[in-house]
Amino acid sequence: MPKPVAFKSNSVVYFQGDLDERIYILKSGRIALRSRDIETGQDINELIQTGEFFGVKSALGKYPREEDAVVLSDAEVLQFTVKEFEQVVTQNTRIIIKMLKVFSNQLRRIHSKVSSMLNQEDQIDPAEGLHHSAQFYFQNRQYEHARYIWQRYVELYPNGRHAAEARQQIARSEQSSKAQSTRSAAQEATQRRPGEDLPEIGKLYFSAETSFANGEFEQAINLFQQVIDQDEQSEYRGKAKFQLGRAHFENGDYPEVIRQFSQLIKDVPRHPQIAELLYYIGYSYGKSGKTDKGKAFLSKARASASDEPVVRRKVDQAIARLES
Amino acid sequence: MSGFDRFAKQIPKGRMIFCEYEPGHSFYLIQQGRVQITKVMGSIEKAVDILHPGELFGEMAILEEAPRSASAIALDDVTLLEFNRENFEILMQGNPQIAMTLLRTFVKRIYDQRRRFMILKLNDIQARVADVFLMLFEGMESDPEDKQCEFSVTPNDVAHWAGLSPEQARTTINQLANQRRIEVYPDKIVVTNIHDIQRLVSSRRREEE
Repeated sequence: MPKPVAFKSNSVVYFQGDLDERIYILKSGRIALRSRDIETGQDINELIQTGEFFGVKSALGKYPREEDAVVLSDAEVLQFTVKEFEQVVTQNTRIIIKMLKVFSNQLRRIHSKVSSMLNQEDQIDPAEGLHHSAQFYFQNRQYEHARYIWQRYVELYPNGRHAAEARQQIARSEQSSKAQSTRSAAQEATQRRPGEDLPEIGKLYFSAETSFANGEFEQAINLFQQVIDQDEQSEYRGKAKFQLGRAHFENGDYPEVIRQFSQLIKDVPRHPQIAELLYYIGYSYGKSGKTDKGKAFLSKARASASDEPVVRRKVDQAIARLES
Repeated sequence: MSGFDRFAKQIPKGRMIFCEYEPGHSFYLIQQGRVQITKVMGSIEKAVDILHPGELFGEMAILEEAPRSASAIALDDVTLLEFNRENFEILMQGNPQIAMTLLRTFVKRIYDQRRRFMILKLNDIQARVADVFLMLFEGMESDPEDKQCEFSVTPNDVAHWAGLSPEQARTTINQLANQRRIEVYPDKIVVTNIHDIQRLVSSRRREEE
């Protein structure tokens, strides 16, 4: 049960830097949140409204308080644990929606500040990126994808540099897609085999990738294993080891994932996909009922993935699932 | 969830849901089937991830008003719940657990971005690199008595987080190593005394303010 607590004027509910997981609602009196703007260093003084929650972000995110909560005149608050807070707000989603709006504005602001401080040179213009992706899929005979992307290009950039070409290509993609669907699946499979000039081991690797992409995980496992066994020197061996583990993962063989990826980290401690490896191990422990071990690996994955938003999102979702 | 069927979207196997570089106005919750996340890099297509029922995707683009960072393709016949500005509130009211997951995600992202901002704001390059180690340290669950900390990162990782060129980062890492504050190994960097790094960063931060 949420606990009522009284605070005297001039006292402090919590200090910046404190680590604790309590969340409060102001019932009566005056409390201010004091912090400094991270950009300008200016003091920020924010008065809490009666009935308003405070201390939510640091409690939910398990990070240190970002402000002092100072009592300006005798105050009464209700104190919640994170669990109690969740029970209350999931009964009343309007509160969550309101918070989501506030937080998404904050996120947008801070994200644009960070982006403006980073070097943006390596960013591709979205219009060029779309066109390039469409060309890629067209060349790889995935006409439906190509058609979709060129269609979007024309909608988004009707006067764009590639608009005329895109319009033509939509028609061509449609025709090719129709022609393709009348051809037999077997023919198609041989035609789509990538790179005739590849060495045998490369072909084997790509057929494994194709099986994986088509959801034929048993077959993918078999083929990736062959890539690993056939040639100890090949450039595909490292990639195959990674994909083999992922195929086991998709196949639901979690103990095998743990075994293989733990070994891989031992062999290659600086693995470029270390965050993902840790994620798969953590997730697999979670699935095997070892929640604590799962969490430990996921939090390691989180630390290694701070620059990989896609991996990071997965890790966060997996942690949230283990915690709920 | 059945009352929300009108927001459900059926996508046949193999169909593209959205493409990298498209502006994003909605995000999705998978109800049935799997979704493949891919990126085209030069002349190859990289399978980034496979998502399963219960997982959210596409939420970052609407938040950050940035183009989609990857493409999503239906790996099976897929049923999605599509969230956008218009139906967001109705859907959230019916799915408090999703709302809660989203709230947690936001909170973590805000913290990460703020922390990154604090690093980038430092003018002193050595302090910036040191602050990257602090950030990594904060993300670990460690014994507060332990002074020595190991990080499985490369100078290039550090460069990226600190917003430095790889050369700048390497030079600075070497300086810190010469001062015996860190030891650099092929597969990891060891901080000799994390408290010393904390002091270094906080004193530079004070000086710059």
